[in-house]
Amino acid sequence: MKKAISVILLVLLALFTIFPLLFFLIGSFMGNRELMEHFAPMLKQADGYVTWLLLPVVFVFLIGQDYLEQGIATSMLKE
Amino acid sequence: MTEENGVTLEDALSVLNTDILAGKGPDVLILDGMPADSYIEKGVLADISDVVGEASQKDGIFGNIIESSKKDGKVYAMPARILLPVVLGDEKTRSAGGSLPALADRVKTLSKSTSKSVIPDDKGTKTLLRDCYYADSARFLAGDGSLNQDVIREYLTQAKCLYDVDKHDKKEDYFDKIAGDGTMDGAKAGSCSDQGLLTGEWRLSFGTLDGMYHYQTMVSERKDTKADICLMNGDRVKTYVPYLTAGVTMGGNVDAAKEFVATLLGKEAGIRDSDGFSVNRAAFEELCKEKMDDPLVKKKNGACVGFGGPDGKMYNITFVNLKQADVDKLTNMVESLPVLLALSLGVAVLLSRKGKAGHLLKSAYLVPLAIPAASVVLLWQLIFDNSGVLNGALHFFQLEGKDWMHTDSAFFVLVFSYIWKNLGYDVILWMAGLQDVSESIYEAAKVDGAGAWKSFCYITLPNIRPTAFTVVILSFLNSFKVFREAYLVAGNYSQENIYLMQHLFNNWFSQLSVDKMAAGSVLLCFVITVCVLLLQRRWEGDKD
Repeated sequence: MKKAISVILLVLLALFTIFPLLFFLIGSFMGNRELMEHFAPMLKQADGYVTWLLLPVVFVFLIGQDYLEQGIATSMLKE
Repeated sequence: MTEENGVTLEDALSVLNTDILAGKGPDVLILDGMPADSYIEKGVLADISDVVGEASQKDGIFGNIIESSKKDGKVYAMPARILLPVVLGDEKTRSAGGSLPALADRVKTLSKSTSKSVIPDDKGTKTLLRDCYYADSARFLAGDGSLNQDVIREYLTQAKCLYDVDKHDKKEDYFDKIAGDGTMDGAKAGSCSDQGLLTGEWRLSFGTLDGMYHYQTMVSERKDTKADICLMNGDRVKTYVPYLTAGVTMGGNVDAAKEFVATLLGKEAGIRDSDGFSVNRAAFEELCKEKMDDPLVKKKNGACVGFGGPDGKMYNITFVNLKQADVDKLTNMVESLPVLLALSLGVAVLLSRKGKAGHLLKSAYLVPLAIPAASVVLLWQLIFDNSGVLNGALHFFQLEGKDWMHTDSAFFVLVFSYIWKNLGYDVILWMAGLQDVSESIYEAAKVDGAGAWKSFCYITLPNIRPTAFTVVILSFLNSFKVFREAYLVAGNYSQENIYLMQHLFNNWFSQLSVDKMAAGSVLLCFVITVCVLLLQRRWEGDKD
């Protein structure tokens, strides 16, 4: 039990230490517009707070491409 | 009191002990001057870790005081207030005040240049011995729990040196004869007298600092006395004097007693400017704020105390408000906890037992060293900005956010950034030191029944002393290099707590004030060299 707790603590601390790297990695897959949307409260003094996604829009699109195409096809069929 | 109902202290204690062991004692015990360790060993006191934990979550209790109150990982007795052993004097006295031998030397030097007393007249035998005891007694116990005779011999020798320096026909144990163990009218009085420095009766003072009012008095006198305080013996061991140490007895109404202790540790009970400093951080900070902005003090001649000196003259103390630097100094004295060193050592010890997984995690901790400061500050801005992620998260949990970068919290943002950046570096250094400790010593200790904690205290820590010196020096030097982060995160004129270094290295650089920069660099280099040399001397002194 003690071992498990120490491993969990070490892993959490390691994740905390490398999370800026993950932040940069994710950020590098985002376009300017997407970044601006997230950072507008800080950069443009817009309302609300800075937000961040663990999955950039481009990945959402790639992963969901099949579903999206199926959805478009279905809606076209309905029409 | 008559012959029939009068009892001695010993008799009263023995009756109380009998009652407690029979389960008829009071529910709450104030353990000042009582054998708390013996009660804990006999199982008389209940574990109050939950009460302390709750108070800590609510208002914040000084972590180092909780840690030092722990016995086998649990808290059985917790002081509600503390006094600080301090030395009051000029700059040379303060630099000597960090250790008893250096203080004794300083006192001897001063005695050669004056015909008056060097130390206060209220330092009779008892008071003097007690003040030195408060400052040094944490070193009395050796690692195995036995008394360290060499340390006690040295304590008595230095106390004798301090005693011998003045003529003793005038000395009187004021605090013992009149105040009785420093307790007067139910209040704890500090024994560090300050007024004699104002009248020129003596050259330095030492003893206990009993609260915010006492501290403010000393700060107010600073203009005339040029004297300031430092922790007495603080270079060797940082100590405090516990006061109102509360414990809960097992036999009685434990829940109600715990509630009482919770109130005692709470913010409301903590806000008093004498009788010691509260261990409750919220109360401590509230009082600091009060003393920084006292409307009475702001008025012209608003708060002034006059008294007659031995020469027949009148002396005045005009009270001033504390400045941020005074508050920071006091807070640092109460809470001098080297976070990075402790955290990195803890991680290194855990990692060294994890084999291949440890190597992988070790690499993860080194990632911050590979990330340029300019890019990572963007992240700190996103997190700590007024509209940043942290305030967003607080808002989500219906909590009030704050301006992290332009208030006192800016300092903690910088500390956070420093720890994040240097954790892996320190971990690697510690691990190199840990590898030098032979496994056979641990195995032998295990056979003798030593647990993980005892092995760490009595095997690991003494064996990594040489590494500790290197890590402390490197961490200290690195702490001077966080000016880039301060500048990039908070701009040219950042909050005053993080302003100094970045002003020297960024603002003066952009203004091309080469003369100022050169002077600043030389001074900084000098300060760092002196600090390193002092640390080295201290380290080698301990080794001898």
